[in-house]
Parts: sequence; C-alpha cells; structure tokens
Amino acid sequence: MRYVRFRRAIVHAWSLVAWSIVAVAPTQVHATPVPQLVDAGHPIRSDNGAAQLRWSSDAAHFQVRLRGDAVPDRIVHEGRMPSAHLSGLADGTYAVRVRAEQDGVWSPWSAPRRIVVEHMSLSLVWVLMGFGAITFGATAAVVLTQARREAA
Amino acid sequence: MSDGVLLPPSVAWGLLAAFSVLWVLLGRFWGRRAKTLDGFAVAGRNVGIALGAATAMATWVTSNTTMLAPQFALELGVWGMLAYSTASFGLLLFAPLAGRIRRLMPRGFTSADFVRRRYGPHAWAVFIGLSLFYAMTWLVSMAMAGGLLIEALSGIDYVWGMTVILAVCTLYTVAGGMFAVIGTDYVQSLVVLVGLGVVAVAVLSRVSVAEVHATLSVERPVLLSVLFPAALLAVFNNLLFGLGEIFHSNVWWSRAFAMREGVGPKAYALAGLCWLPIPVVAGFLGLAAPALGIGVSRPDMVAPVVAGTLLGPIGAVVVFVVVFSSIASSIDSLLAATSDLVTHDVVRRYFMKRASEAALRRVAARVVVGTALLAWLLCVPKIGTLATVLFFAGPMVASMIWPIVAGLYWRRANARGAVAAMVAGTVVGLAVYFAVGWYAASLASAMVSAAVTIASTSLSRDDFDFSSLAASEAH
Repeated sequence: MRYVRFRRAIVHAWSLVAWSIVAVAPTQVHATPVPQLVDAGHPIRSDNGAAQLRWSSDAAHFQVRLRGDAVPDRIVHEGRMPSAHLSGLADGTYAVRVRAEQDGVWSPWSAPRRIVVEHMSLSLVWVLMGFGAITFGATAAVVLTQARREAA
Repeated sequence: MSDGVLLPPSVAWGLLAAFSVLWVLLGRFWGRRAKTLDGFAVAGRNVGIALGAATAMATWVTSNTTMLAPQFALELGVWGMLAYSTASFGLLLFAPLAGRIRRLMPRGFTSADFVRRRYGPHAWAVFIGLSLFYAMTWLVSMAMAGGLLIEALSGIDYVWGMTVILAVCTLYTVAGGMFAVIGTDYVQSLVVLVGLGVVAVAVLSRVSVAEVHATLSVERPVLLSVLFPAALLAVFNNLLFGLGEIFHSNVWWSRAFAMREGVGPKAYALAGLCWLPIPVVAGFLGLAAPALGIGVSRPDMVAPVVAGTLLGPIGAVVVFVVVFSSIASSIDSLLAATSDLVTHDVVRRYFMKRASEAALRRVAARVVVGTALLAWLLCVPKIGTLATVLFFAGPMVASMIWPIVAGLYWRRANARGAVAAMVAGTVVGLAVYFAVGWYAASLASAMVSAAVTIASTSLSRDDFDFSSLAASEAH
C-alpha cells in the first residue's frame, strides 16, 4: 500500500514538472525581443525625403513599417541588417516601427520613431539654379571661346 | 528580399587574390620603363589616343560612379541619376584645356607647378593645401568603398578588404608609376564596361522600366517628380563639383602632360562622351531596388546588393570584379598624382634641389607608400557615408575652377584675385554645406569664386606673358 502511494506521489510530481515545462516552454523558446530603434525619442528631420534608420537587435530578419499623414500603413523595408534607408518621402510627418523575426516568430512592433519631411522651398531652388546656370554657362563660354580663338 | 552576405568569404578571398596578382603583374610589366622621374610621373610624354581616352574614362569611372550614382538615384530619383551624369561635362570642357596646358608647359609635371609659375608662392600654398585635401578625401572615399563593398558582398571584415585594395594599388603604382597606372586603367576600363553591361541586361530581364516607374509612382512618387527641390539643386552642384575636380586636380593634369602633342583634346572629349551613359546605367540599379522589393540598409550599398540579390553568386562576382576594377583605376591614379605633387612641388623644390632623376624616382615611390598609409589610417574609423566624405571637399574644388581657367587664358588674371577667389569660395561653400546641405555647397563656392576672379581681373593692370611658363621650365 505504501508502495502504491509512493508511486502515485512520484507520478504526480512528474506530472507537475511536465506541465510546468509545457506551460513555460513556449514563452522561453519563441519570444523574439522587440528591436529598439536608435534615438527613438528624437524625430528625424529631412529636407530631401530620405531617412536612415538604425536599431539594436540580435535577430537577422527585420521588417520596417511606415505610416504617414496621407500614406497608408505599409511595410517599406525587409532585410537582414539592423538598419534601413528610406527615400522619396513627400512633405509630411511619418511614424516608423520595426519588428524582428527569429525561428519563424515575429516580435511585436517597436515603439515608433517620427520622421518629419519638409522639402526646401522651390523659390530658393530656382534662385540657386539660376546662379548655377550662369556660373556654368560663363565657364563653358570662356573655355570654348578662348579655345576657338586659340585655334584660329 | 534581403541584403545579407551574397558571396562566400572563400570565393571573395580567391577573387581578391587573383585580381591582385593580375594588377601587380600588369603594373610591373607596363611599368618596366619607369626608370626616371619623367617616366614615373608622366609616362615619357608619349601616350596615344586609345590609352589616353581609356585612362581618362577609367579614372573617372570611380567607385563613386558605380556605387554613388545608384545612391543618387535612390535618394534623388531620376534627376539625381541625370545630375550624376553631368560630371561628364568636366571631361568634355577639360579637353580644350588639356591642349592649352600641353602647349604652355610642354615639360610640365603638375597642376601646382602651373599655379606657382602663373600666380606665385601664396596662391601655390593655398592651391596645394586644397588640392592635397581633396586628393585625400577622394582616396579615402575610394578605399572605404572597397572595404564596404567586400564586407557587404562577402562578410569579410571592412578593414581587411580596404587594406588589401590599398596595398595592391600601392604595389603596382610603386613598381611602375604612370606607365603602370595607364596600362592597368586600359584593362580596368574594359572590365568595368563589360561588367556594367552584363548587370544592366540582367536587371532589365527581371524588371522592366514600366514596372519600375509604376512602383515608384505609388511608393516613392517624389523620386519621379520634376520639381524635386534637393534633386534640382544637385544638378548644377554636381556639374560644378565635377568641373572643379577635373580642372584643378593633378590626376587630370598629369595625363595632359603624359599625352602626345595634340592627343589631349581628342582623348578627353572621347572619354567624356563614353562616360556620359555610365551613371545612367548604374543609377538605374538604385531606381529598380524598390520595384524589386529589395530592402536597402545603407544607400551607398544599393548597387552591389541589387546585382547580387538578382543574379545570385554570379552577379555578386560580376559586381565584385567591376567595383574592384573601378576602385583600383582611381586609387592608382590618385596615388601617382599625389606623389607627383609632393615629390615635384615640395620635396624637389625645398629639400632635394640637386637630386638626380633616379633619386627623385625613389622618393616618388616612397611618397606613394606614405600617402597610402595615411589614407589607410583615415579609412579605419569609417567616417560617414561615401557621399558625405567626398562632398565635403566639393566647396574646395569648386573654388579653384575660375582661378585655373582665368590663369590659363587671361593675361590680366592675378595672384591676389586667385587667392581671394579660392579662399572666399571655400569659406562660403563650406558655410552653405553646413547651413543648407552638400547639394548647394559646390554651387555657392563656384559662384563666389567666379565673381571674385572676374572682378579682380577687371580691375587688374597685370599683363602676364604666357611664354614665360615654358621658358621658366628650363630652370
């Protein structure tokens, strides 16, 4: 009788251990840490619509998601390095998030980092382009006229 | 899609070793005639049109063309791609200058030598300071590009890749000087042209221009915009930066001295025309990346990543060889041209006035090694992207356009005006670089320098005798 009780106790103990392993194991094996965007608290300010993002993570597969004032939420980058380069963004404020994948399991999305895009004023651009055209035109004119004069 | 390692490190080391041996053997073969300073620095002054055009084009097809043009397209769109190709105007407009330089100084060695004879010691001091700074930034950006490329493609550590590329170029430049540089440039230009053609055809077979346009219209419409402010500014900025680089740098002057009488104008014009489409082909890789769903981690790595991802290991090998060749063709030219500047304009003038040609040839080789060592030290910390490293020198080179042009053609151009133009252009250009951005810095510098040069020449009563340039070479 004592032997039977002892065997039941052993079986109960093993059951408890086995259940606790089953209960704990999924979170230990599959949880992928959330990548941390570098300088997440500070917005990136861009005057050419491009932004360079970096984050810290030990994973080797990432996705970057972008949402803007007038842009639908979408994945804009997928890669293996802990950085991404975005370009061609129009004027506006955007929020980017990153997530990592390990062993087929994706982490939750990181806290967002803001990107504020404000392209330069076109009036300034026209003025500078005008100066550029004059400077280049004058250089080409001097070189070509002097060369022709020399050849004559 | 991904941007991870595309080439096994063992294959990358094998390619590095094979091409290193090839360049060194070719360099030694072509450079066996470089016994004197004249042979080492200006290849005996007898280079013909085929080698002349090939060396000019190969030197201008730098890692910046194969890696920075795609970055321009990725960041600044179609305008960015076209802006980069405007750098060919530098070669085209230097064509008549090359003829003039050869006629004025048939026994000349360096661009600094011209500035000293034309404007005197003060202008020379400013010019050589700016010129050496620029040469070093170009060299550093090139060696950095090599290390980054090898790391991106194969996972070989950046420092190892950068070190091997610098060491190989140093070896064959020391062995053969300008003879070796021009000979290897010829082969390297062929490798680059064939390789770029292969990559372009491969990319177009996977994605059409219409698909690229459709994707960009939806995902990155600004890249297609005709009124993209930063890209519009980049057009004239890059144009003037390219003019400044070519007009002042001894890389281009030394080739003008090395070419036979009458060859320079034709060779530079041909090189400019052949170079014009290359940034468009390379730039298309940057525009195609979004349509192909390729994530880009660093903008200066877009070309290798796109080619390697699309074509697999073969594409990675092609890109590796193309960029290695384009980097080598520029690093060797820079090492040789910088060595000429330091040996001829500093060592010979101030420290070894009575040295024999053979002794100066040995000094030139040591200067090549010293320059490469300094570049290596500056490359190790990996400062900034290729664009930021190179474009910081933009205001400096753009400030030298007008002092050079006026000095070559206008009798009344004078030393005070040249110094003021270089200093004012550099200061204003650097201020704009920090206040506005790199895409307006060269433009502002060239504009201010032009205004100062024109004003000082108009007010001057100087009457320079150009024949004195050739006459004074005899001394």
